[in-house]
Amino acid sequence: MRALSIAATGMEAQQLNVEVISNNIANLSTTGFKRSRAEFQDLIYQNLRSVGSASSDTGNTVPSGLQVGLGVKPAATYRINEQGNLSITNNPLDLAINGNGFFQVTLPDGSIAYTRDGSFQLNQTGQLVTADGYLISPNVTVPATVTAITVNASGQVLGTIAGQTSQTTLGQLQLANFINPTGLNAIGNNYLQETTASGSPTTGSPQATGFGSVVQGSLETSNVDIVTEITNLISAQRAYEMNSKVINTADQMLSTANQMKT
Amino acid sequence: MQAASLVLLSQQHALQRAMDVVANNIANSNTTGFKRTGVEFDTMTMNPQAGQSLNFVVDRATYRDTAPGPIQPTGNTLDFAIKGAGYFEVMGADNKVRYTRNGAFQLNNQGQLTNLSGLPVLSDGGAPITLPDTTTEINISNDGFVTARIDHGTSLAEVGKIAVVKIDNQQAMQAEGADLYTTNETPTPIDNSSGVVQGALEHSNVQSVTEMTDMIKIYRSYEQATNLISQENSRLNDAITKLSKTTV
Repeated sequence: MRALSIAATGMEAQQLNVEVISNNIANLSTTGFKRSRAEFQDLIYQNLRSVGSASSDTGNTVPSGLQVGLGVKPAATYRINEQGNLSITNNPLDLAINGNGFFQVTLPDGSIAYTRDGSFQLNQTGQLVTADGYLISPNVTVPATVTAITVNASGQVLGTIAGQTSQTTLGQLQLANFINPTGLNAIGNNYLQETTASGSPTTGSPQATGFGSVVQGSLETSNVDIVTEITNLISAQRAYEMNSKVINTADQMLSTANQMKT
Repeated sequence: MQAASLVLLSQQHALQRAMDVVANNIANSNTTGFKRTGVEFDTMTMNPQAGQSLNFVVDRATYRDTAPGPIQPTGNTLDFAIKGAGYFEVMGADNKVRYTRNGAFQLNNQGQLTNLSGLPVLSDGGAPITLPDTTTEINISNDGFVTARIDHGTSLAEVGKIAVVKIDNQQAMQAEGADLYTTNETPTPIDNSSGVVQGALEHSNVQSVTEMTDMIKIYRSYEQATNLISQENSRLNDAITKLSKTTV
């Protein structure tokens, strides 16, 4: 009886679904987090009688064959890169991207990671770093004499130095863009890495063609919608339950067959 | 003499297969664009003796219930649902066109619109749909025209038209798995009654209550058949015991 293994694929699929949903809910207040969705596809089919096969010598054909599907498989879990809301923090080093693009971060191994989380800080030498202390690429150094930092929409970092009337340009932030941002590989800590599926990055200043603008004093919230997630969770749980009922019933059928008196 | 048991056995066989079909429907209750399968039972009549006819059960066919599933908004710009009849076309790895109702699409590293298995989605001209790198917004009209806003520009550039086609004999389509179907029929363009909805997906058309009640019915029939076989067996046993006594 195939029903047992078919229902098992269904339970496994719903388990993955619940895992994806729970990760979304867990990251509800993670800055710059993009929600994922699990997508499923039907598994292969067994043709017990093919559609259109001849049912008689005179050329009659079977209008609908006998096909039994063998269950379900997870097709993909993919990130939905919808813009999150901007929440105002008034911290001058909190930067949000409004539109397309990622900040570039130099990882300790020298490779570049990409993030939408712009909650930056300064390290002991005045360099702009992420919460993990990794340098922003290209980096901006803020001298100790600077009393106020302004980042404008096009990513220019300006500093007010004590005793000077005009602001000094400290650096220029650069964003990276991908043709298929969904193809980026998430490595945790809000970092994403380039893959062949994402394509290679094109870099540019904020507000340049194809890039979003930088908003100072704000952070991008996660794009998780709690009501949707809970609804999905309920439907996943019900589906899981139904699949377990199928296993139960199939088991009972086999047990009835076993108990037949001889 | 064992005809009764054999008829019941044919029923059990058919019920097991029906159970497999229900299990597959339930397993795919959250599969985008999935269409539930139904089972058609039939009788096979045999006349072992004149005046006697036995009706065996055969599971003649499975059919696809092509009723539309509910359309659920997802908020993802690359999710498309077909309202009404129709199928999207994707190009398989063997250069043969596959049909699907699952419109959860993505972009590949060349900017082509693909399905989740990475197969390119075809335009009405049969070519893949490629979006320029600098696309900042993607829109699709009700009849499938894809337009892209380039570099936050004020105007929308037309990129292509997603092929949405109608297939007359949907039962003759072969399910391949991964939400893909093949057919020998030449598809025709959809009429005005169908359209494409952006930011939504078609949910599977499996009705959990129907499947659950079907499952209960299958189980009870199976149980009944098993009991009848048991009873038939003890009847034969009795007959043999009694008959053998009289002859001694």
